[in-house]
Amino acid sequence: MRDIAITATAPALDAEVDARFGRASYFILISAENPADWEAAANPALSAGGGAGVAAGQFLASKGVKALLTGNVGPNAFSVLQAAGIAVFPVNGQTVREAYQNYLKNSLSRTAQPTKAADHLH
Amino acid sequence: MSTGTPRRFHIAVASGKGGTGKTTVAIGMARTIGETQLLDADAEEPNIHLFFPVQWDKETPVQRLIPEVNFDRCTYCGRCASTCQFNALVVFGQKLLFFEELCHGCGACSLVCPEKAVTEKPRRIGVIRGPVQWGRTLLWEARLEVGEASGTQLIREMKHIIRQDLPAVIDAAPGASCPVMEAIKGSDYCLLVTEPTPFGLSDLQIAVEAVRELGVPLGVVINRSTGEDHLIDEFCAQAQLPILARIPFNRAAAEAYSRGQHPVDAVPGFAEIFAGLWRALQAQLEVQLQKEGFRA
Repeated sequence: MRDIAITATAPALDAEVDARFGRASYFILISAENPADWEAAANPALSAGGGAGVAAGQFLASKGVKALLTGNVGPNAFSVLQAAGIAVFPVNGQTVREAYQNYLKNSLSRTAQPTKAADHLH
Repeated sequence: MSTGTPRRFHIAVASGKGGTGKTTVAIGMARTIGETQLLDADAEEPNIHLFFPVQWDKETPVQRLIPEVNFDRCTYCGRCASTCQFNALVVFGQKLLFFEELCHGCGACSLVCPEKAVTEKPRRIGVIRGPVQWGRTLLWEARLEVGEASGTQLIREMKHIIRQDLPAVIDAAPGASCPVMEAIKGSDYCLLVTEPTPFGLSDLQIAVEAVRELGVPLGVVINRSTGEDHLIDEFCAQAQLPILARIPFNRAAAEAYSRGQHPVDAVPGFAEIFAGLWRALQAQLEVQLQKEGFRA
C-alpha cells in the first residue's frame, strides 16, 4: 500500500520536495513499510484553471493516501484532505528521500490547519 | 459625432496595470463624446461615483446560481465533480464537498446528475446601480458584495440592462482577469491606458495578449507622458498598435483628481487632449466599420 504522498519537483526520490501542493509537478506515492515500493505520478491538477489544490486533494483521496508531506497547503485543499482523512506534514527544503525518512522517524509534525491563504481565484 | 460613427458603439477602457488612468480616460471620453453612458465595471471597488455627486436611487440586485445537493438522492457517483471545470465540487467515498468561491454558476453539475440530486439555487452577489443622469452622461455602476470572488456575471448583466440605443464607455477593472475580459468582450474598441514605465509596459503586454484573444480592436493611450515614451513606443510599433493619445504628466491634473475634479474641467489644455483622442478613436472606429460593419 503506497500510503504516503510527497510532492516533488521531479519524478525521483532525490528530487526536492515541491513547496506547492496544488501546483506540484509530481506526487511520489510510497509505502511506509517498504521504501522500494514507490511510483511517481504526474499531478493531474497542474494545468487546472482554478481549484488546483481541491483537484490534487481529490486525486490523493482516490489513491487511498493516508499522509501528505509537502510545503504549503491552502484552506480549500486542506478541507478536502481533512475530509479524506489525509494527515498533512509540512516540510521545508528537503529532498523527497529526506522527508520520507524524517516522517518514518516521527520527526515531522502534523498540521491541524492550512499553512497558507488561498491563491487568487480568477 | 462624424457621420461614419454609429450611435450604438461600446468603448472599453482597460489597462493591465492599476493606477495608470483608466478612470480619468473613461470619464474624459464620456464628457467628450456627449450624450453617452458611462459604466463603472470595476465591481470590486467602483470609484467613478466619486467624480459625480449623484444619488443612486435605482438598484438592480444580481443573483448567481449555485448548486444545492439533495443528499437523500445523491449516490456519490462523482459525475458532478468530474464535469466541473472549476474544481468547485469534490466527491470521494460517501463525501461530497462544495467550494462556493470556486463555482462559476455554469449549472453543468445539475445537468449531468443522473439522480437529479443537484439543483440550482440563487445567491445574491451584488447590485447594478443606475441609471442616473449627470449632465449628458448616464451613469451606471456594478458593485460586488463583500466576500464574493468574481464580478464577471455582474458585468455581463450590467451590459445587458443598459440603454441599447446609446453609446457606452466601459471602465474595466485593472488586470486581465475574467471580469476585465467580460467588460471588454463585444466592445467595438478597447483603449488600453498605460504609463511609460517598465511596470506599465509589462502589464500592457499581458493586456494586449489577452484582449487580442477576444478579437476586439485595440489602441493605446499613454498617460503621464513625459515626452520620453520610447518603452511604449517601441512595443506599440512592434505589436502594430496605434497610439491614440499622450496625456502629459501634470501636477495640476493630479491635484484636481484628488479633489474629485476631472482634469478636463479643471486643467487648461486637457479638454483639447481628449477631443484629440476622440477624433483618433472615431477614425479607428470608421476603419473597423469599413472592415466588418457594426452591431448597429
